Amino acid sequence: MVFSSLLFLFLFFSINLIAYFLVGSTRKRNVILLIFSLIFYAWGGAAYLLLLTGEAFISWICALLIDREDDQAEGRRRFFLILACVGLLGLLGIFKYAGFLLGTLNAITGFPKSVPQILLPIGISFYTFQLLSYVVDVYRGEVSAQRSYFKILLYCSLFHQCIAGPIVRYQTVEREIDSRRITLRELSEGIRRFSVGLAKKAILANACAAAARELLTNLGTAPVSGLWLGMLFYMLQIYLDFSAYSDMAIGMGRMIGFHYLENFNYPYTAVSVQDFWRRWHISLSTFFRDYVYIPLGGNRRGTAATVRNMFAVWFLTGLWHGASWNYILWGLYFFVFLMLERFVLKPVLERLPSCFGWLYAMIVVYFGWVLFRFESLSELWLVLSGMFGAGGRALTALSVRYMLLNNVFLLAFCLIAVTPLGKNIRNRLLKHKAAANLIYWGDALLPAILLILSMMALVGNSYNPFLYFQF
Amino acid sequence: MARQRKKVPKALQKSRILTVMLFTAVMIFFTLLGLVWLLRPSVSETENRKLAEFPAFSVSGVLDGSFFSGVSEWYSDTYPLRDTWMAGNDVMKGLYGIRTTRVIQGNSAKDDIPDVLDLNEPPETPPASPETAGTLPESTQTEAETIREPRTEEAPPVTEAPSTVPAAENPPETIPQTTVAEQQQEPVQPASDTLPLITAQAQNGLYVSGDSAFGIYYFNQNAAKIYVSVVNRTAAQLQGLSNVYCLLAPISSTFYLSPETLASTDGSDEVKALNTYYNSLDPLVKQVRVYDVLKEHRAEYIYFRTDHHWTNLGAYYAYRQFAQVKGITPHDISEYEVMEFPGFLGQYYVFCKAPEMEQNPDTVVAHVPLTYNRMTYEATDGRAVSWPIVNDVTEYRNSQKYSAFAAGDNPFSYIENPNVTNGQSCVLIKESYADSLIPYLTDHYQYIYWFDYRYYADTHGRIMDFIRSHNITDVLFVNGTDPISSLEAMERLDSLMQ
Repeated sequence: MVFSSLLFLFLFFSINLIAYFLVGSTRKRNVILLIFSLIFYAWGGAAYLLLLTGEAFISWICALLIDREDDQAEGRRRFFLILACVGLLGLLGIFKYAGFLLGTLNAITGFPKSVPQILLPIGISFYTFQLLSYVVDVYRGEVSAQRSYFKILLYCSLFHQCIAGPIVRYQTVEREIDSRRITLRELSEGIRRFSVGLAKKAILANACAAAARELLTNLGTAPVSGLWLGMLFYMLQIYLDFSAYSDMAIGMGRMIGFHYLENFNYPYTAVSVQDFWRRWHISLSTFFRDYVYIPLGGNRRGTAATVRNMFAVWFLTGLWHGASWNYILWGLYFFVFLMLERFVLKPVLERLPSCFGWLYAMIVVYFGWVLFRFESLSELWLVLSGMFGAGGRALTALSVRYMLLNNVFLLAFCLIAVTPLGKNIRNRLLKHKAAANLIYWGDALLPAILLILSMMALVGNSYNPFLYFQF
Repeated sequence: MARQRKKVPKALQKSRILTVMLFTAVMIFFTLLGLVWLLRPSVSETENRKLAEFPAFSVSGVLDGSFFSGVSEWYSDTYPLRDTWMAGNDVMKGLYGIRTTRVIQGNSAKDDIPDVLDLNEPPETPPASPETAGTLPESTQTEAETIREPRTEEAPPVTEAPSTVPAAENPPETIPQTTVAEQQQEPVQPASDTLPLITAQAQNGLYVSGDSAFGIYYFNQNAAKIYVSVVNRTAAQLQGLSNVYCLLAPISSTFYLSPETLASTDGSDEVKALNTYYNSLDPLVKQVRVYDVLKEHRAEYIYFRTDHHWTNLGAYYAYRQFAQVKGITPHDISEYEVMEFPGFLGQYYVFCKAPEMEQNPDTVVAHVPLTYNRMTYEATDGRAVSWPIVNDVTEYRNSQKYSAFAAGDNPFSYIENPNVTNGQSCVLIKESYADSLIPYLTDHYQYIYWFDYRYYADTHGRIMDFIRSHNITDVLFVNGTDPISSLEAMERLDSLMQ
């Protein structure tokens, strides 16, 4: 099930909320949440429930075994940690990467003869990482192991974030699983956050996606300006889409007293590539920082080790996004620029006005999305070279001009929506009493209006899975 | 967060309460609305398609999730008042930008147009690109998805039509197995899921300006080679038996968009392509070139603005041209009885939904054949149905009014005209462009048979055998330039005409 579907909004989620608020205790509410989460997950194929519950079981039992051992038995603690890692990463490897690895092997050596087609279970990248972080945190003594299997299952399967993030750490919700409060403030702000996220996806991201799709067809002959404009729409789409999902997850969490951490912080206002990655998919970058980069020694073991560690992180970041070479290329592409910044550009960027840094970062990110979009390397090359006029293509065409004209307000709106401009103006106005009252009224109306508009948009576009579903 | 909070302003508190109340109200309203089964539509009038059906339950579908995704699709596709919500969404979409003129990019790549096709060099079959393989491009599903109009005509006596197709001279082979029966509620055209996937119309880009849309033409060299080879081969094999004619119907943009606009739409030059097609035909094929005559009459209502077809008037001029090539005298336009069906919003409208079109729809004008107005069509399930050649479509959906001609598109249809006894017979290999031409041909042939190669599946044997065994006088290829630019469609034609 996707959040941006009528079935989710007006059957699953509404009934979930009703059931949730009908029962009184947190314990019963957890049961409701768990049941709904399992139904939600089963929607993508009931068979995969085995995988989800199995991974939760591995993590639960290993964490308990790690926690039981005292510090003297370091070897055994480590053993169970490794066991959990091998189990979880092994499953992720089989379901997500086996086809890719064997396919690559087959391309090089001709072996194996046939590459098995393994379907990617929905959300596996997200819940596997959540469970991994849990087990490692238990091992590190940062949290204590959860006695109840069902609470671990609830943690990783909670439909708010199970299948497209953010990657919630166990420590973030540890206490809230057992005791959480619903307040009017949280409820109303959660509702607003959720509605804004929904509209961002259903209206803006989908419209950008449609424009990008139309401009980025016939890659061999598409005019130069069409490719550039198409990639701009895609750049907007991917942020609006993915951050919308996080908005909705965070909003749904807040409605019922969970506080997930922010996953995006206006990444398109970044003034360097490093800055971008502090603002983009924060739960993923911090995951790699805390569970890969720092354990490998971070930047404390000299330049060579730092470079190696960075390389590992960005190789994995790329690979995490998909089992295909273009994603790995995409990760390593950022690795190159991060290295460049660390060793060359940093002093330069610091001295220049920040708009130069922003321009540089956006250019890098923009071309990054070209790598990201085209899984086939030949298409990738066609587009990249085509953007600079290769292939004798026209500079522009009427269709591109009209595409721009037909979507000019959408484009302008999206360009503003990806900056904190609206938020800043709002905060300013809130300081004046009269304006503040108006804003409060607007706040009250906004979710209902956005819900209706999104609903209309979703009726028009039959099926629109979130972009990040494949990861 | 600090325990000691500032007192919450009253307005803020009220706003929060209102937020929750309004959100709850909207959620509950849409949830309840979604549960009103009876309001769930099964077809969408504005999109002109059948909506998703509730999926059949199966354990494997539950395990792999396909059952559930079917439920999701059904739930949203048939959500009550769908067309109302869509209309609201169209208003919202109008705010995305300045939308008076639009160019919608087609999904097919264009090839360079040679002066003459090199038929000795076999057409390459390039690996299907993801955009064209298997599925229709999402945005341009038009023709193949069309829902069919329920019949509105009164039932004629079942015994009226013979149980077999009359053959020109030979004793008829037993052609249709079924008796001719009128079934009122059955759709005319084959159901979309049983159709071979033909992306004819789907190939096109679209130039939309105000209340008019114009298809953008893309030349496909491989498809062109197959088409020309099929026509040439047919002529060669039928040499001495039947005359083979080729009539290509251009699309409207060629006549109505300025050369500058055409050049900048990224399409191919259709005039050049038409010449290439005709120049590549074998001398055995009699060419019916209609471009010039249509161009001459471009100020008249020869093409619809909201649909890709020509009007009956466009077809009439094509008919005159054909008559000239065949050497017969065409009837004057004033001789015909005229029927008019206003309110036509064709496939272009379905695709682009321009509100200006809605305010100013097309009118389908039809000329009733002078001698006879009865035909028989066979649906995909083999049923033969007796039907008027020009039918009253006043009650049909806005999008379906082109079905006034020749019962729309069916795999196989025929006319046995008792009022023409010249022994002349004709087979048409066609798509929908021929539908509006058929009423004019009716008065010149004793027998007309037509095969829509997109849907025909050898229910009466091989077409070539049919032509030979029925001693057909004339074989007419009547094809639109855009359908024959589809490689898939041409491969199908090629295999049918073997």
